[in-house]
Amino acid sequence: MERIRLAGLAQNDPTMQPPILADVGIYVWKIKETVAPEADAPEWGSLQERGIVWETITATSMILAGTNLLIMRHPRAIESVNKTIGELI
Amino acid sequence: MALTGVQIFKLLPKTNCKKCGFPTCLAFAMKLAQGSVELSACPDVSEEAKNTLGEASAPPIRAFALGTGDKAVKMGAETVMFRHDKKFVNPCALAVNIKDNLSEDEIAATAAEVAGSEIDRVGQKLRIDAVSIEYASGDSAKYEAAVKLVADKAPEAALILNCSDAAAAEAAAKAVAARRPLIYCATDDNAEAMANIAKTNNCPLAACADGPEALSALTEKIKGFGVEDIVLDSGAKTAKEMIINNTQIRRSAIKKGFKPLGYPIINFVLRDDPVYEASIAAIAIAKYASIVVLSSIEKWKNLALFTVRQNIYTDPQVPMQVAQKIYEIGEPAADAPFMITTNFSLTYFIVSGEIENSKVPSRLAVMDSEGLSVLTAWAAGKFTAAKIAQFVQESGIGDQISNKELILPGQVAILSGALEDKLDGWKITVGPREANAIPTFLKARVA
Repeated sequence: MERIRLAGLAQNDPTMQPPILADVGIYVWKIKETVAPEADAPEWGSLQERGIVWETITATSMILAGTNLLIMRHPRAIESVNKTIGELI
Repeated sequence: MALTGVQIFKLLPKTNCKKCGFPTCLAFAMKLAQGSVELSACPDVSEEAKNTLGEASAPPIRAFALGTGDKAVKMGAETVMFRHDKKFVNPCALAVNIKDNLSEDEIAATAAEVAGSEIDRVGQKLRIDAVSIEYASGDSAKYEAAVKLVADKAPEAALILNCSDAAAAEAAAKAVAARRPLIYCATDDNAEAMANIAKTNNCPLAACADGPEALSALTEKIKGFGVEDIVLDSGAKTAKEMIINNTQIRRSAIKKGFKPLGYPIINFVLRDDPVYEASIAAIAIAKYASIVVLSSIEKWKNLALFTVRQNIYTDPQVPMQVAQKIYEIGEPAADAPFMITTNFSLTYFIVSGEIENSKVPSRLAVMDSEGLSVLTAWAAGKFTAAKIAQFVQESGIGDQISNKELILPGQVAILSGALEDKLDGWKITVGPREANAIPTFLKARVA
């Protein structure tokens, strides 16, 4: 994704210039790390926060790579990502 | 900056004596430029050439370790701006900051949390690597005691002495000098005193200034006092400043060969809300920090940060692999299904994940295919009937299971005939083409 963004900016390649959409919510909330109960994976810590931080960090990484639009699920994750965006502009 | 082959050639004796193992000096110079041979292979090289070439071949970002022993974290030695250009070399250290004015129990508890933070993920051991002890009490005896306590309770962690008071830092550095703590930090005002402490105790020193320009002047000053292992803090307060400064530092070092900024970077990302802090930490990890200091290390937060770090620092040129063996999923009985696939880690995780989802205990044989996926490995001749047969026979699995039936990935159904010929007494079944059909497939067999 970062390469697409760089190609769009630096090489003026029109096919690489449309905005990028990152639909993180749906993919984050079905993986093992966000759904496995604490009893199954005690070393991963509290299930409630685990998914929220996972969604937050996934979204932040997408922003760094150049996404323009995020689709997310958890309000607390959205709140943290919004604060991050606030620091970035 | 790296020299070209021709530039190096001019510095060589040009005798074509062949003592280095190459037919001509020019050929040797070309190999030197690629970094595939050492200059010491030439017995007749002049002192002048040694100095010039030695400097040119030094990495653009100075490499050294944070901490000591097996768990020391290598830093620096990076060569590219973007992971997709080549790879990022040394995964950053994650550290937690503790204030020395907390109670002994609280300090000991956090140190123990660090010591017990290690988890295993995709075959790698990941942990919180360091503890930063902040001088908040204003009492140097108390500070030294806190540092000793942390050193004692987290015996393998690297230490960061977060203390700009020279007297307190000196006492603490002396107490734990054997652990080679990072002294944080020297500013323009205390540079000489801090550099002396670092030099006397043979410790790395962090330089802290406002922005890359001031920082480069400060590192030159510190280097002048005889300290070589320097870590940079550009004083960034927001994520934006952090990205701008870190990028500028990395670019100056790598693209311009600017030595005063050719050092690893430390970023403090302390925020009140742990989720928000994790988000800022993820930025530091992706954008060039070698040490990221956090204010809390909950397990759920560590897991996410470890994963980001692992993703950024895996080598994109090498396919991720898992070990060749027969994995047991659930608690398979002797007549449980026996499946085979290749050792590309994504293939393994998807296939094993779907087998787990099916809730049918099974055995999954993972065959070494040099990290290629099923179809690619088959096309490359690494997942052939002969090789699969040999692997199955050598594993001795035939004696452990009652039902000699091997389930093959549907993508390589074409191999089933040849495999039946080669694996005497085995029944070969063609499984699903896609992993997401595995649960239905396995459940249907049990029903």
